Amino acid sequence: MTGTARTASLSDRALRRLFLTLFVRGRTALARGKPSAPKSVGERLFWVLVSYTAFGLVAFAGIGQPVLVLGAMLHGFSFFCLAVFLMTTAGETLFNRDEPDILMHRPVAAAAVLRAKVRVLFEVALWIAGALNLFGLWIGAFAPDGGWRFPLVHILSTGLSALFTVGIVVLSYELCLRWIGRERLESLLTTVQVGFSILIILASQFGPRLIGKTGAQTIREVPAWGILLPPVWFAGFDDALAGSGATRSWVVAGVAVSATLLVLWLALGRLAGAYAAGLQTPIAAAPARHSRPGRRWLHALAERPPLRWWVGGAVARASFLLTLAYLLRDRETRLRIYPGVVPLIVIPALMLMENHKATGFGVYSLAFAGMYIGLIPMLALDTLRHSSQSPAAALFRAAPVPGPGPICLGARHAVSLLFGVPVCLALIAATGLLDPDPMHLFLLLPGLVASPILTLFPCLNGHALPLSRPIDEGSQIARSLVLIGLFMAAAVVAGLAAMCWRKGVFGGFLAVEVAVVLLARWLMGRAVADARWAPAG
Amino acid sequence: MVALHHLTRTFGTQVAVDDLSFEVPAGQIVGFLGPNGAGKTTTLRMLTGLLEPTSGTATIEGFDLLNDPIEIKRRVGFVPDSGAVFESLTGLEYLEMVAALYDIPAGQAEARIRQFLAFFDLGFDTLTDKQLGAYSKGMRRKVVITSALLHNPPVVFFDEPLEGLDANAAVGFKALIQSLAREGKTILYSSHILDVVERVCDRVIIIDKGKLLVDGAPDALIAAHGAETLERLFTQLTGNLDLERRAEDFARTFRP
Repeated sequence: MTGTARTASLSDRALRRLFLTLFVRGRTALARGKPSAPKSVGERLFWVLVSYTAFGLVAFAGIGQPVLVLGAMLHGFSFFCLAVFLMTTAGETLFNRDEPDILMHRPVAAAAVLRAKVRVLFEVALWIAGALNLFGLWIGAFAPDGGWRFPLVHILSTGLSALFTVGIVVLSYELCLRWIGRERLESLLTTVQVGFSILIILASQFGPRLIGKTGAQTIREVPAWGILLPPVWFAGFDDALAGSGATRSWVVAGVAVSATLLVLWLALGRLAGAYAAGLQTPIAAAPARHSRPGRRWLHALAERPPLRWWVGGAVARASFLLTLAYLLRDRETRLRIYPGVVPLIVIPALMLMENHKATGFGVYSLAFAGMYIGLIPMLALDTLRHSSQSPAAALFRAAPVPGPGPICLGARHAVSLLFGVPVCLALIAATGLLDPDPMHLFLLLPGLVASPILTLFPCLNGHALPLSRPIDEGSQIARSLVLIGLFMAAAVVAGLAAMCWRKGVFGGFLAVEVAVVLLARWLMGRAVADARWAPAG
Repeated sequence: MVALHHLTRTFGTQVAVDDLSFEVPAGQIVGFLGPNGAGKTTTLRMLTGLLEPTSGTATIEGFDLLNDPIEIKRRVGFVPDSGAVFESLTGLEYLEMVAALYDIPAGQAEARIRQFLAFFDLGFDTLTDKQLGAYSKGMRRKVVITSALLHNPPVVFFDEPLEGLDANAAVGFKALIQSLAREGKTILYSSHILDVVERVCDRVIIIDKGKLLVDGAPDALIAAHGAETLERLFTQLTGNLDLERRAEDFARTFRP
């Protein structure tokens, strides 16, 4: 091995190890201030993979289905999870603001950095895809046209699909860099990610579900537009090698392989130059843009009724404006919140679309969709607690404020205004326009009534103090479990509401709910107001 | 040896660095000064390959900035003003990663790291027991300085290197860069702490609005402009003459 080749290989290995560690541990310190040594990469990965394996239980819904249908379901689900995961993390992985200062003045080529990042993204994607498909592998072996070959073939198609997903995410960013440039990409990154999330949902969830509605059981029965969806290509790969072996499946499998190769060639070869140029444009070096004077309208609005009455005192108003500023302007906050919220909105949207009949939306679907008026702000409030700028939150404790209550409430009002109000208006508009029964609008009320409780929940004990905690990927699983618990509670309330609607006692249900919410609101409000600063540490 | 030839960088219509040319021979410490927004950091970013010049070029140790960026990076150590590090790595993991990027064998890297630790009066366990995000600002700065010098570069660029260092570490660091210059290293030192620059640097370059204002030995420049100190010279040249009066006027507004 020549000296140059040895250096390249050494630095490739160092970069791969670096990006894998950063990916798993998170970019900012997990244990800020804690003297303990960091947890191992393997331990963190293990728990992440356990949670993805649990998500993979969804494969049991495909028992008894032919290979093509099962494959489309598994690949659709994997593509959805992987693409959303990659989309929300790849922006920061590919374009970390600090990276040029740390890395790019060292003897490392931008192409080597890109290669190392893509390799790490692929490895992580492969592990996640493997965990998601663990149950599906064995279910396919017992499919009517499946057999012992299915697990082997599906491992191959899953690997191929993971490569394709990584390639398409990287390629998307490169195309954006080429078309709009690094500096504009920085300001449009959130919009780009939200746009990609919507496309991913369409390709991975709506498409296969619509194909399912056609009752297609073989590749011949899949409508022509269905062949355009990536999950169908990889399902065709499964079907060609381990299922029916139909000629059309072989063609579709060929499309899967060719598309993957094409995407990788474009991402790592043809457009890699765009990435290198992007890395050489440190945003901090560019002259600062003048903030638009129009942004002051928020301050003006917060000073006038009715927002002034709603938001409360000076401290809550300051927190309200701070939270809005971060939600509207801060790159990191926007990248973590908006792309994370969009995939969640798909759940009620899917339920509404699937259960839409001539008589209108399904009763339960509407009641559950209504719960999102409180669930989405609650999720945003929980995400907003974490920021790489958390040391700045020491300001809250230094101020003459007895406890975190008013600051949490200001943040709560901000997320309610930015997320709760639009979700509520969108649901009213969708129901009003698409549901022929205007009485169905009342089904949104249980969610609207419950929303103050859902958004107060993160404020208890000052947990919702905005931007106050470092980004700790490790505790996300525990937080996810709490949030899943709240989503399930909301689903139960929606179920009760739907049941009462069908039995004709919806009015009674609402009266009880209002009474319970008023009592809980009063108790929780007092708890939030009385909360005092916990000892720092 | 560093030589800038008509180096220019624009951002849209704004000229950040305007036709800058100067040379820094081996063994010299040059203070690179200017007010905020003068173009110092942009110049250093261009010299370290972080930013492409709009026009002009530079040569470092005989290599051209535009044609041999990787060869230049092998020969340059850079302490950026941001002091950025990968916060989720431990200090040791970070330095090992940097050593690998410069092709320094593991054993040799560890020996070098131990030398730096000894210089900064630190134990080896300070690098292994927590992640960089949990380090104090000064400790993090020591890691950044170590990472810049680990590969023994002939040219070193410092951008506000003393930020966060305590008084003892700062004294040690100033002595270190003077010793490094005596060993033949070329040092470009950008800072706002002018009395340190006056004491440490052999030569001073002051720029403003991207243009070179003066270039010479501190004593000679001070004498030539009739200023008492480098600080006075700096304020004279960059147009802030009535700072004391403005401070007094402002302080009066605090009176009850």
